[in-house]
Amino acid sequence: MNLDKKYLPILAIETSGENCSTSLFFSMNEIFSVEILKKHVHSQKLLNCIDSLLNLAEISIKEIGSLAISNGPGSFTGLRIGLTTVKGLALGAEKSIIPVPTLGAMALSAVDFVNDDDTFAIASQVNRDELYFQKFLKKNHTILEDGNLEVISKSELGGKLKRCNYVFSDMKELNSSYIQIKPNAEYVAKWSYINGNNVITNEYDYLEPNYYKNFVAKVKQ
Amino acid sequence: MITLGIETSCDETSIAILQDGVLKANIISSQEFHKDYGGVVPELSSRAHLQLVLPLLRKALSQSEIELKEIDLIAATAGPGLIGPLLVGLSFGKSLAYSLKKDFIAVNHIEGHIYSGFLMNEKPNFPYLCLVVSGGHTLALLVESESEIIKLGGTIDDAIGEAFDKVAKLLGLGYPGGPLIQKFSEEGDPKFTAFPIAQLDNRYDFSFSGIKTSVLRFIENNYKSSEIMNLAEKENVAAAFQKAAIEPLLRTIRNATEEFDVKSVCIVGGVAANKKLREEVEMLGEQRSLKVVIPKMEFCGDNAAMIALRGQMLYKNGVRHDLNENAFPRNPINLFRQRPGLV
Repeated sequence: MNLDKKYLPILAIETSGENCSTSLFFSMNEIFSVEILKKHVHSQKLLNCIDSLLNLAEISIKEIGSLAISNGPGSFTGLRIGLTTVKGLALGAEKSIIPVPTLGAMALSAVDFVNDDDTFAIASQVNRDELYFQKFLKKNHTILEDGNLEVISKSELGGKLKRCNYVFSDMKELNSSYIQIKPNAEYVAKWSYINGNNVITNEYDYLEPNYYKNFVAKVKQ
Repeated sequence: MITLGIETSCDETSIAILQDGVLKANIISSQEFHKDYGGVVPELSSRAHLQLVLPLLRKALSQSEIELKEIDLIAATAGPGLIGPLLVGLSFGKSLAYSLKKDFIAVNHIEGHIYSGFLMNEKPNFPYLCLVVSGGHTLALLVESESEIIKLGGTIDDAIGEAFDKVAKLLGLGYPGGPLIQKFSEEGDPKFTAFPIAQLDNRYDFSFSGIKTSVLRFIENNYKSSEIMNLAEKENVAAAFQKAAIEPLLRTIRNATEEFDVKSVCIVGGVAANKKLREEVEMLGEQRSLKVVIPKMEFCGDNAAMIALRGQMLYKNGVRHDLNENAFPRNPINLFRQRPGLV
């Protein structure tokens, strides 16, 4: 069941990668978006993007229905900028938060490229050597998870693609058989609209990003 | 006027509420787990700030009996500090101000410390000599007004708090070094040995690296390793080091109060919590009839009360910041006016 109307419009934010992306979702046919594709601008420009977006739509922050955040995995710092910003907005505007799996939203952006019963993979760059990897399946025009989220090395990717009809990726050096996508807030909003009823929450004080990849701190010698 | 202060520049998450000059709440949560790593791990600190910032805000509101919508101004630390932790507090402060339609001020953390004496009942009078002594900074400043600060000198190598940490590690005492050196010094003999104190061209500059190296050599020459030092020996070395680390600060006070017409002396920052330093400066103040203002313990370490206070001070002086404010790890080189004639 789609998201309850009282939570519309959805203000969606995607800061898990290089794209500082915001969208305001009224319906599948009415979406405003403002984004900046540039490294290291998220902290400085995210609220400007949101302000521009709301001005374009001629509504105030109080008039939105809910906030959706791409909640990882992705850049640790980017995820935190997005989530702290969303927490501040939600608290001040008294709105609920929809935490959205980043690869789930990316998979949704592939929906128009793939056919029913196709299996496809999302491979999102972690660093020079590693990828976040997850398989999805399109069934009855719906995107379903077809495996668990994993961190894999780039050299493992080939072996993971059995039964996959397509690979979608934000990798810089893209293999010609992969299709380029990047995380963006439009699909964070769409994911929220389709699946948000199950995860929307007012209890977000301790909400954390899905860092997924372990962080190992070294003891200073 | 009600100001909300947010501080997340290092390993303390702090939220304060200041109403018309009265501090209603100053909640500080210290991240003790960094001890296990021998220093602050920025990624872990950032994660903890994100977990704590909102619960601490609710606690501060409840303690103050103030509602969120009653807040007039939001002030958050923008730098200097660890960039990851800074981004959490700054992003939260900006977005909260935006959604509440309140004014926002990005506060310089060091300026927060410099004016933290104004959180005390007995406030400093302008112009005052301010020594900023912490884990990241050691500065001698002449504070002329709410907007005019002249830099007399600063450390040319380690910050004083850094030297405390390093010497505590050399002695095998643990981390953080400040409280441990203080504790071990209490039973030690400060005259056990004399560690050298640097004499620099600018008499308001400091150097703590040499003292630290002297401690290392002293341990190597006399014990080979701190592991075979007994408790009394560690206490004596800690006391002698503490004496050598404090002396340049006292010398700076003596020199500056002779050269400039200062009305007060203010010692701020984490190392200002050191008991021996507080006693020595108070004593010097009495001897020279100087007004000494040392913030109480909760205002010495990183805290949001000083951020709220400085934010409110800037606001009253007409400063306004917009959504573009960004975090910065280091201070701009021209933050403080240089003393004329100083090379």
